Amino acid sequence: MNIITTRRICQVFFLIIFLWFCVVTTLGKEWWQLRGWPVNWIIQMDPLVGLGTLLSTHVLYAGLLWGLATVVLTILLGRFFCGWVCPFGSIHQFVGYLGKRNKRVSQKVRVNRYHSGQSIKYWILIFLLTAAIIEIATDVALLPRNRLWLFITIALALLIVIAIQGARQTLNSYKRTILLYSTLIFIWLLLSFLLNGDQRPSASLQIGLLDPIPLLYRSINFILLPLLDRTALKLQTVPRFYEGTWLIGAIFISAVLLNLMIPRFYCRFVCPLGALFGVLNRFALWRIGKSKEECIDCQLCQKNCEGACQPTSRIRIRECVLCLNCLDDCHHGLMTFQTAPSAAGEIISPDLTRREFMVTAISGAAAISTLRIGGRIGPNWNPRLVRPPGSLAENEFLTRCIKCGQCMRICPTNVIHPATLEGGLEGLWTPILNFRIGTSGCQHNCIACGNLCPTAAIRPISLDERLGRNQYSSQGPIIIGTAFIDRGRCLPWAMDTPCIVCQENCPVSPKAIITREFFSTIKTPTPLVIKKASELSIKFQSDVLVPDQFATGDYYCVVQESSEIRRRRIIGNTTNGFQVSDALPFESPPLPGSRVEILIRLQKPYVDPKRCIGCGVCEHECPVKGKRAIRVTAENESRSREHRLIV
Amino acid sequence: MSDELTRRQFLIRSAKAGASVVAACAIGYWFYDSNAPESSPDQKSSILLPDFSIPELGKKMSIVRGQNRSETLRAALKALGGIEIFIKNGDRVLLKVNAAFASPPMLSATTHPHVVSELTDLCYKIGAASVWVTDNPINDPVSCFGLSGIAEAADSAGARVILPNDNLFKPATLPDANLIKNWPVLYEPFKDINKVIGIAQIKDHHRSGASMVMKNWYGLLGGRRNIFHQDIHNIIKELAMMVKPTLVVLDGTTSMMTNGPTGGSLSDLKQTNTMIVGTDQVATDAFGAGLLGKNISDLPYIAKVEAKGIGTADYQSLNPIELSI
Amino acid sequence: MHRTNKKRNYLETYLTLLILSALMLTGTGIFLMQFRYNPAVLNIETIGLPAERIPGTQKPSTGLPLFPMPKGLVPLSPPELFDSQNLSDKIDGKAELYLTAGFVSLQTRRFKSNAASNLWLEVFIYDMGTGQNAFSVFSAQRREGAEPLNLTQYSYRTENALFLVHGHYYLEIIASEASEDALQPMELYSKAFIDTLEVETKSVTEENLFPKPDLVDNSISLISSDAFGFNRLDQVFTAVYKLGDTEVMAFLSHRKTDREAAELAQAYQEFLIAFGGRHIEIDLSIDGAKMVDILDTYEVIFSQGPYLAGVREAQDRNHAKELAIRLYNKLKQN
Repeated sequence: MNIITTRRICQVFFLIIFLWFCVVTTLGKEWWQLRGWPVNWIIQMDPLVGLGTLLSTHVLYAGLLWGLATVVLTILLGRFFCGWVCPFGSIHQFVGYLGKRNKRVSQKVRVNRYHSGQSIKYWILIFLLTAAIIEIATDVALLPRNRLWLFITIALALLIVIAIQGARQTLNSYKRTILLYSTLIFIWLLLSFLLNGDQRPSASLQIGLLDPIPLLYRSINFILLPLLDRTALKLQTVPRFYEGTWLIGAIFISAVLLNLMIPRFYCRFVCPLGALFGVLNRFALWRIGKSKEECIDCQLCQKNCEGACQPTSRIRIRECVLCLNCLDDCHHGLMTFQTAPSAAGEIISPDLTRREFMVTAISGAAAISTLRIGGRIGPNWNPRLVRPPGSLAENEFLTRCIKCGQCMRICPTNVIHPATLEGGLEGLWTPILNFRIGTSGCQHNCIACGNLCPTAAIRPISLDERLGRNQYSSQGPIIIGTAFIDRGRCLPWAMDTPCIVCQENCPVSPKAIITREFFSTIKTPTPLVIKKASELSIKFQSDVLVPDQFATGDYYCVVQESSEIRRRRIIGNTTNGFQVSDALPFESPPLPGSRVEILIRLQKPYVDPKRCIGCGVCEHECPVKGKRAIRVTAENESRSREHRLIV
Repeated sequence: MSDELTRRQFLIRSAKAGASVVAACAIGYWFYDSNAPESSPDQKSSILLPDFSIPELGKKMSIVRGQNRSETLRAALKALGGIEIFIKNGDRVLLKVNAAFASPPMLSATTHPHVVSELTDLCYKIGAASVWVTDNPINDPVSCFGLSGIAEAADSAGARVILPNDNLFKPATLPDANLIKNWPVLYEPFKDINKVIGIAQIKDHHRSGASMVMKNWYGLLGGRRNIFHQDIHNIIKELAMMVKPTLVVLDGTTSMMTNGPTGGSLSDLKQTNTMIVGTDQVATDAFGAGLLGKNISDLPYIAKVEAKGIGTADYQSLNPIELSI
Repeated sequence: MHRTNKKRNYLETYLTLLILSALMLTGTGIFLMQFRYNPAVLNIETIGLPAERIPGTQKPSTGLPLFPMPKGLVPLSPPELFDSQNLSDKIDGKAELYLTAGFVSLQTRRFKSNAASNLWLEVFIYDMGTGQNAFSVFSAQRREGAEPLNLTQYSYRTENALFLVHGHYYLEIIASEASEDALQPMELYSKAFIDTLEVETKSVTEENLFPKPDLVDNSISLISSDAFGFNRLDQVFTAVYKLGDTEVMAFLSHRKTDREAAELAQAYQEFLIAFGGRHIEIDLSIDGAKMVDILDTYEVIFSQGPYLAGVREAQDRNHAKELAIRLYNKLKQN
C-alpha cells in the first residue's frame, strides 16, 4: 500500500479516537460514557504538557510519561506527531485541502512556500516556556548565595572547558571568550545578590493557551459538544452552558478557517508543540530530501508540502511534518526518506537569532513577573475564584493547569466553568465554579474532576478524602468555599417572605444552614379593630383584608393590650375577619374594640461556617434568581491556609 | 559528498540522536512521579521547638519591687542565684521580646528597651557567645523594633535583632493540639541557639484578658494568625505547651491596665513597680494577674495551661523571693 | 506515478503493515483500558445527576432519579436521594419499617400544581427491590379511611395522600392540603409515573390462597420480618376475617421446602408455649395442627406442603378451628 494512504489512515484513526474520547467524557458507566476510557491519553502523549509541567513543578506526573515516547520517536524519526497523529493537524490538513482543491498548481506551490513568519512559533514556545521555567531560573541565579560550592564547581568547570578549547585552538577569539565568561560570572553573582531570596516567583504554566491538544479539547468541550447536546444526539441530559466561550470559539474558528488561505497555518506559524518537535528532530535518523542534487526545479514537490519546508532547495528539516507528499509529487523519483541528508543541503537551525531568543525569553519571564505584581495569588486574591474540590493552592495550581477543560466537561452538574478574568490573565480558562449555571451545586459525593485532571492541578482525591471520612476524619471534609447570606436580598431577612429553600437543600449532614424563627408584624391599611369575636374567629369593623391573604399557614395573630399574649395561627380570612386554628382557641374571646396585630412567621437562615463546605447547592437553588441572596465565595477553602475563616 | 563521508555523518548523527534519547529517558525517569501532589496546606510537618528549660533548677520565682528596671531585674536574677545559673559560657541566647506595635516605650505596649539592654549585658558578662532578639510584630517589623527602642537597645548592648521574613517560618504541628497544626511558626531563629528568655510586658488584653509571658509567645506565630483570636485561650494554652523557655521575665514596672494591648494613652498605664523573674511561666502570669487587678479566674487560659501540667497558678507554692529596692 | 523503485514499494508495504498493526494494537489497548473504571464513576449512583434517562436503559435499583414531569406540574425542589444510611434523615423513625423490608433507595421531590397555585405535592419513590417488599410496606401502613383506587392493583388514597405499588416501587404522594383539588394532580402524577416506568407487575400470588368468604376487603398484608414477634418468621401474609362479630386473622407463609414449613410450624408453637401459651387438645382434622391458648386468644398453627399457615387472635376456639380448616382446604386445592 502507498505510504501516504497509510498516513491518512493513521490520521483518521487518531482523529476518531480523539473525538471518541471527547464524546465519552460524560460521567457514567455505559459504553458511551466515561467508564475507563483513557480519555487523557492524547493529552499525555503531548510532550509539551509533560515538559511544561516538568519545568514548572520539577515533576513528571504519572501519565505524562507517555510524552517521553513521543519525544523519543521524534528524536529518531522527526515530526511524525504533526503529520500522523495530531488531531488538530489532521483538521488543518483537511480544511487546507479543501481550500486549495481548485487552485492551479502554481498557486499551490506558492502557498506552500516557506515563510519567514514560521519562526514565530519558536518565539511563542520560548515565551511560554520561560514563564514555566522562572522558578528554576531563579534557583540557578541564586546558586552563588545558596550553594556556593556548586557555583564554584560550575564556574571552574566552565573555565577548564575554555582552557582546553583554548589549548586546542578551537576558539575564535580567546580574549572574547574570557570576556564573555567573566561577564557571565559577574552577572550571575550580581543577580544572586540582587534577587530577594525570600520572594521567589512561582512558575506559571501557560502553554495550554496555544498548545494544540488542550486547545482542541477546549474547543470541542466548550463549543462543539455543547452545540451537539442541543441536538437530538444529546450526550448530556441537560444542555450545557459555559461562560466566555466566544473567545475560545473565535480562536478555534480562526485557526480552522485560516487554512483556506494558507494550509496548516496554525501548524506553521503558531503551534508551540510543533516548534518543540522542530527543536527535537535535529538528529532524526531518517529525513526527507533529494537523493541527487540535479533537478529540473519544477517545484512540484512543494505542491502539497504540509510543513512548507522547501524540499525543492535546501530543506528546512525543522519544518518538515513528515507528510511524505513530496515523495509522490516528485515525478522524477528524486525525493526520498533516507538516512543521508538531502543532496541539495539542509537548513537545520530555526530562523531565530540569539537576540530574538533573548528578547522572547526575557519577555516571557517579565510578563509573568508583571502579572504577579497584581497580587492575585497573594493578598489580592479573588474570593469569586472558587476552584473545584481537590485543587492545589493557587500558586501550585497555576503551575499545573493546562486549561484543557476536561474537568468542565466531566462535571455532572456543569458547575465548573472556564474562568475569564476571575483568576487574572494567568488564570484564563482555568476551572472556576459558577453556581448560577448548571443543574445543581458541586455534588458532595462526586470526585470526577480530580480523577480526570491530566496534570493533577485538581488532585485525584478519594471519596473518603472529599468527605473527611476514615483516615481523613481528622482533617475534615474538603472545603471549597463558604456560603454567605446577603441579608439585603434574602426573602425572610429583607422582605418578610417565608422561604427556607437554602436550608432545605443544604446537603451537608447535619445541615450547615440553620434557621431561627422570627415573627414580623404585617402592616394593614387600617388598624384591625374587633367587632365581634368567638373562640375560633374574629370579625373586624371594616373590610380591609384580601380574602385568603393570610391563609397560607404562615400568619399568626395576637390581640394587643390584652393579657392573652400567645400567638394564634390564622387558617383563613375573609375581607373583614379570620379564623384561627383550633389547636389554640381563645379561652375567652377578645372584647370588641380591642386591636389585633397580624404577624408572619419567618425562618431566617444562618450559615454555620464550621459545617459549610461551599458546595453551592444553596446558591444554585436560591429563589432570588438574579444576584443570589446566598452566595459562595472561596473563604475558608481547604487549599489555602491564608483563606481560612475560622479556627 | 562521498559515501564514506555520508556514512560518517550518519554515524555521528546516530550517536547524537542516541545520546538525546538517553538524556530524555534519564530526565523522564529521574523526574517521574506517579503520585499526585499532596494537598498543599496539609503537608505533614513534625517541626517542634526544642526544650530550652533546665529542669534541674526546678521552679523558681523572684519578685522585686522598684522603679528602675535595670536594678530590679538585676536584683531579681541575683535572688534566684544570679544569671550564671541559667546562662553559661558560650551559650547562644535568644530573647523573645514583645515588639508587637510601632509605639514608643513610654506607652508600655512593648517590651521596655532597658530590660533588653540590661539582660543582653548580663548575658555577655557571663560569657554568652551571642544574644539574639526576635519577635513577629503586628505592624511592620522595621518600625516596630525601631520605634519601640528595642532595636537601638539591642544594638548598643551588642545583641542582634532578627527581623521576621517568610523564610524564617516553618509549619509546625504540636502533638495533641487542635490549633497549632501545620501552622507557620517563627522557627529559624531557634535553630542555632540553646537558651531562650521570654521578656513580656504586663498588659491588659481585650480578647484574652491579659497579655503577659504566655500571651507573648503569640509573636512566634506566622500566617493569618488573627483567626486564632476566635479561640484565644486555647491558642495561649497551646503556645505555652509549645515553648519551653529557660527563663521568663515579666515587666510590671508600668502596667497597661486598660485598653490593651495597644493602649495609646498614658492614662491607660499605672506604676506597679514590680519585676518578676522565674522559670514557671504559669506562676509568673498568675502573679501578674494580681498587678492588673484581675483574678486568675478572669484569665481562663491560666487554668487550661495548669491543667496541662506546664506550671502552677499557685505561685506562693514556689516560695517566691520578694524584695524591695 | 513514476516510482519504479520496487525496493521502495516493498518497504512501504512493510512499513504500512507495521504501522497498521501498531494502530490495531493501540485500539485494542484502548478497548481493554475502558474496563478498568476510572474512580470517578465508581460511586456515580450516589451523585444527584440531572433527571431524565434514556428509555429502555432503566435498570432496577440503580437508584437514579426517576421523576417524570407530567404537564401541569412543575418541580419545586431538586430530587433528593436517600440510601439505607441516611433514610432516617428524611423519614426519621419510620425508616426501620422500610429497612427491614429490603429497602434499596428513596427519592423524593416536591412539585407544584400550576392550576392551584398554593398546592404542592411531595412525591416519595421507594425502591424496595422486589414487588413483594413493596407490597409489604404498602400493606403495613394501609391507612384508616382509605379509598381504594384502580391505578394499579395495590393503590388507595386518603384525604390528602395517595399510595400505590408499582412493580418494585412503592409510591407515596402527599399533598399540602386535604381537598378534592389535590386529587387531580396526585392522580396525574401517579399515572405519569406508572406510564413512564415499565416494570414487571406481578400480583402477589398468596392473595389467592386465602379463602374468599368472610375476608375483610383490603385486609391482606405482608410482614417481611419478625412477624408476631418471632424472629424466624418472615414473609408472612396475613388476612383478616369477620366471623360473627369478631375479627380473626389468618396467616400463611411460603417456605422453600415442605420440611422447612413443618419445622418452622413446630418452632413457632414452641415459641408460643415458651411465652406462656397452653396446648389445647382438640381435634382439628388437620395433620400436625396444634391449637394454643395464649392470653385468652386462640392460635392454630399447621403446615401444608411448603406453606406454614394458621389462625391467630381468635376470641372463640370454634372460630379458630373453622377458619383453620377453611384455610387448610384452600391450600390443599392448590
